Amino acid sequence: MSDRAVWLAPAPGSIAWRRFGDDLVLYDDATGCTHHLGPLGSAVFVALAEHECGLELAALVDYLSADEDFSTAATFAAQVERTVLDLADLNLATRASA
Amino acid sequence: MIVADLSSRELHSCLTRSGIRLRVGPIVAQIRSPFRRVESGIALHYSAHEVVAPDTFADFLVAVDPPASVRRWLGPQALFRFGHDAPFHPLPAAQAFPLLEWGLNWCVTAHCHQFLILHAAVVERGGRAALLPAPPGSGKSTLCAALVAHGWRLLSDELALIDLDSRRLVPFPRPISLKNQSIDAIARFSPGASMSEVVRDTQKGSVAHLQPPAGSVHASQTTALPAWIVAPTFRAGQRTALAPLPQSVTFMRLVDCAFNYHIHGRRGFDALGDLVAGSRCLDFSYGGNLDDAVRMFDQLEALQ
Repeated sequence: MSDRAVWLAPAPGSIAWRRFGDDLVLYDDATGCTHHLGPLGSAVFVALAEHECGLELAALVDYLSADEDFSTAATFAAQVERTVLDLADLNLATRASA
Repeated sequence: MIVADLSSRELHSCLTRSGIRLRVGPIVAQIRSPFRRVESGIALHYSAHEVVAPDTFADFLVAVDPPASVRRWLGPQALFRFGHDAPFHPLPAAQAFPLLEWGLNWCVTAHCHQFLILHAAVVERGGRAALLPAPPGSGKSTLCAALVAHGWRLLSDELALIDLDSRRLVPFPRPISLKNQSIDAIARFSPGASMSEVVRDTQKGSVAHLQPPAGSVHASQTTALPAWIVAPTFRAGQRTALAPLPQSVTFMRLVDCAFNYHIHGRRGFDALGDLVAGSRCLDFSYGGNLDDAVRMFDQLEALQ
């Protein structure tokens, strides 16, 4: 996958969420689905929501790596990529050209 | 006037003619039936419920009647009627009272969308309520019956009604439905409890109903503030234990237990979010020792 793509959160207001500890529960107005995200999924979602113009995958990894709760292992980038793809499957993230 | 004020002749007359209108928590149900089993069930289990005037608006007009088909000649049957509809297949006449109870549950879950409705028992003490959400077979009603026998106020053993504006729990005190081994367990735990005769071979096995305490019925217009969400799990022989349950996990369990969450959309999400955020969330395992179970619930207030 090209890192020249950016990942975006859904439009502001279309998703309601609630933080419980490190987890999020979310409600998607468009689908009526409720989702439960663990710590990494929550962090990825919030990072995208905080960056309205989106984040490239590498920038997303750098951003999350600054959080001491997350691993700096070599596999972390792959974990983030898998997570953002999972979020995309749930319509909680979309990919756009940079 | 309450049901206990009626003579058996008056109750019989009401039930077999125009029906009796009972206030049950936030609803009024008009009930009609020629079955003696329904009559004795109402006389016992609804004895403290208010009988309202015949011209009072009834949310539900229900009846338990013999079906009209020729099948009734092969074995007596009972059919639940909701207005002019019959939403379920008839059952053996011996199940007439449980059928009324199941039918009333259906009436509420299918129509009372002014509430967010969860499959959960609710009990209260000191103005604060414990919500016990659980799938069938988790020991929810057994635990609820034991807590009520131990002095907790019954709001409901089956349906938690959440007011979407106030976020408070609305009482819906009705007979507690016990199944299979829990019938003997509660008879041993609370020997003085008023229980119906056991109805065998239902879809749920053997079923008996426990009379709701009169005090709980009299307080049925007093809502309660949710304070604890306790998810019970019964497994024979396991040790009684309370353990913290992550709020996010609790939230998703409540979604799974909800009857009409999907109807309320974001409003339901917000209500569940407030409920979870404002409550202590716990996992409760027990293996049949009801004395231990009620003792542990007595300690909940210290955890708040």
